[in-house]
Amino acid sequence: MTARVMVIDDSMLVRRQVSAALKTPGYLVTEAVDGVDALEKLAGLADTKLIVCDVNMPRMNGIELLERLSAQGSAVPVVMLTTEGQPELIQRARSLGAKGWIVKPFKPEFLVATAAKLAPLGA
Amino acid sequence: MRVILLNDRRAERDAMVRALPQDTYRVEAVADETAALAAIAREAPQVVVFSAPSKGGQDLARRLRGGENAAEAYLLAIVEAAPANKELSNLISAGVHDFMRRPFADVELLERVKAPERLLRWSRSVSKPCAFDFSTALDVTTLRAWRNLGQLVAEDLSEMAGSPFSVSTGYPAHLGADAACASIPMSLAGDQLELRLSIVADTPATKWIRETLLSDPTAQESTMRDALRELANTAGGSLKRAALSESITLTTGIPRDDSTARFPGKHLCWSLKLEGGAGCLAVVGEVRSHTNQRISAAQLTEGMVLAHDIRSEGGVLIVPAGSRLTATSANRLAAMLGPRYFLEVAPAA
Amino acid sequence: MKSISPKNHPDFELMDHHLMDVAVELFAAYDVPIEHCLPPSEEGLGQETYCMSSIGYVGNGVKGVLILAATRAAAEAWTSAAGGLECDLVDTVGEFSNMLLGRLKGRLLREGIPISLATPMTVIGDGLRISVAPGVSSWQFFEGPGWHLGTRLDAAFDPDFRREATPAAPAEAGDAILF
Repeated sequence: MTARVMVIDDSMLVRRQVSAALKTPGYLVTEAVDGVDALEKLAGLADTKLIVCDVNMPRMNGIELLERLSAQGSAVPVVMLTTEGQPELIQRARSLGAKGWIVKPFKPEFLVATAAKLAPLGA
Repeated sequence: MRVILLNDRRAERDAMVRALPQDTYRVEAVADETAALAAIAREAPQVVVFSAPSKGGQDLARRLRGGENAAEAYLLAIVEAAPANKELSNLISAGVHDFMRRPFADVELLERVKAPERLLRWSRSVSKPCAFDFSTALDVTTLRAWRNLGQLVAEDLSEMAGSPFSVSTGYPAHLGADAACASIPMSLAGDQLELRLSIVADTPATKWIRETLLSDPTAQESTMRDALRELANTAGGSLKRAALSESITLTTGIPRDDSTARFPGKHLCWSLKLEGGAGCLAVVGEVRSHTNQRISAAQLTEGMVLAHDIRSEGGVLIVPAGSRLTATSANRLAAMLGPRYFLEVAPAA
Repeated sequence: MKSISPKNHPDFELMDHHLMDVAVELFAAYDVPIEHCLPPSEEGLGQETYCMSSIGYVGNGVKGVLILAATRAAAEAWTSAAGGLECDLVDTVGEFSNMLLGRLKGRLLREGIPISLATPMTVIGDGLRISVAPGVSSWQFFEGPGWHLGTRLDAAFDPDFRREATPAAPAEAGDAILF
């Protein structure tokens, strides 16, 4: 059994790193370059079980995406993966429904453990 | 900042004193008008917070402002939960800048007392006379985070790279004008400052990026450049988090490809050498100043950074100062505020 | 004297426990030793209640009130202990409730429960009584030299209330937090 994860980041390097970390245990990873791209892709990927999302992105940032997803009533858990560490921003994301916050550079094992908790394979 | 608190309710007064951090505010708390006027005469305050009586509040405000040293102070009135509308407009006519209703939380008092600093930065940018000119622009070079930038960045990049860097000051002499470079702009919009962090890679370092970070020795140039931009992004994050510990909130922009053929302004440089001579990265920090613009909400575009809070008519915070606008938020604000609403912004970074 | 038992609410028990500690600590700072004790009567302070001061607080997913109830003797003793300033007893009781909740705030911040405080509202009168609170609530009583003091801590928690992992410092590279 597999589970789909969407990684949203304007950096190709980060998308590659997340993909590499999550493909190893067996996740299927889809990529998006910013919030707008993510919304378009999510509309056609109803089997997405987890979103890993940067904060600072052009067109639509991660917080704005959380607002949109919350307004849509999305139940897909979202974990922020970002260089930001401000407690107020973390609180804001949490209040918008984010399930976690990981500060870059990230340890791949933390990301895998997070995915296992929020979107276990075989569930 | 010197703050005078005039409140005859001792418990409330003492709670207010405790709410204001001593390392930022020099608070003199008094119980009556006579003591307040004496305190103002002794040393000019930047902020006066006073409990407005239900009758005569505007007269008290006028007398407080009438003191020689208080002409330019920021006046904040505390009123009862449901003051009459006339009472509030009388207070404002008498020169009160803001008010708080009882009961109020300690965080609200702190936010209201912080407001004048933001107003000052805004008023400076539109060339109005400085009504309460008490703060000086930030000297970034005094920040520990800035002085230790090379070390900070090296630590986080080492995490990313899985191998340590050795750090030394100075720009590597062998890096030519055509070396690969990415930079990230960072704003301190209220101070009209822009910082630019650049990461420059020599040829062996670009090879290391391909082989180690990308795990693809044949990765295309565009892919390598993307990775270099992410290194700049990581560097920006390191600086931002370190500056937070010094209570400075920087706004990060989007990293971009850049050129080494320019490093104007005040800049610091560090050389980060990879283990075993595998390559060298340069970290360059530049300080630039810019002039904020005052524009209509209809002209907002992606990348601009707000220099002040945007609040609703009821005082609710909509977007905080320092927010970098995306296309989404720029359009939303333009629609919400309309073309007659003017804001101060730092130029798009 | 009814408390809605916090037995099944570990976060509230934690708050209540800290309240007991900070009460003893606060009075010790004024060289007034107090001890936690049983309610002096079935009605708590009952007819002896002379002052009550309440302060609201709100945090992320929790809000409530701290109520301080004091006998007249207590209020007079505290005024004297605080230097016998020319202020009335109402002021003193308000001030002590303020200091109590302020100390509790510091403790709770370290426990991942940051709260904001309102300002105190104090009333005086004979035989003051207050209604039962919604949410969890707990009375505690303390005995000082010749007087009694009661505290009631009320709290209403949101269903998804969680104590915070990193309350104040910025997160660092590599940190991972699950909410």
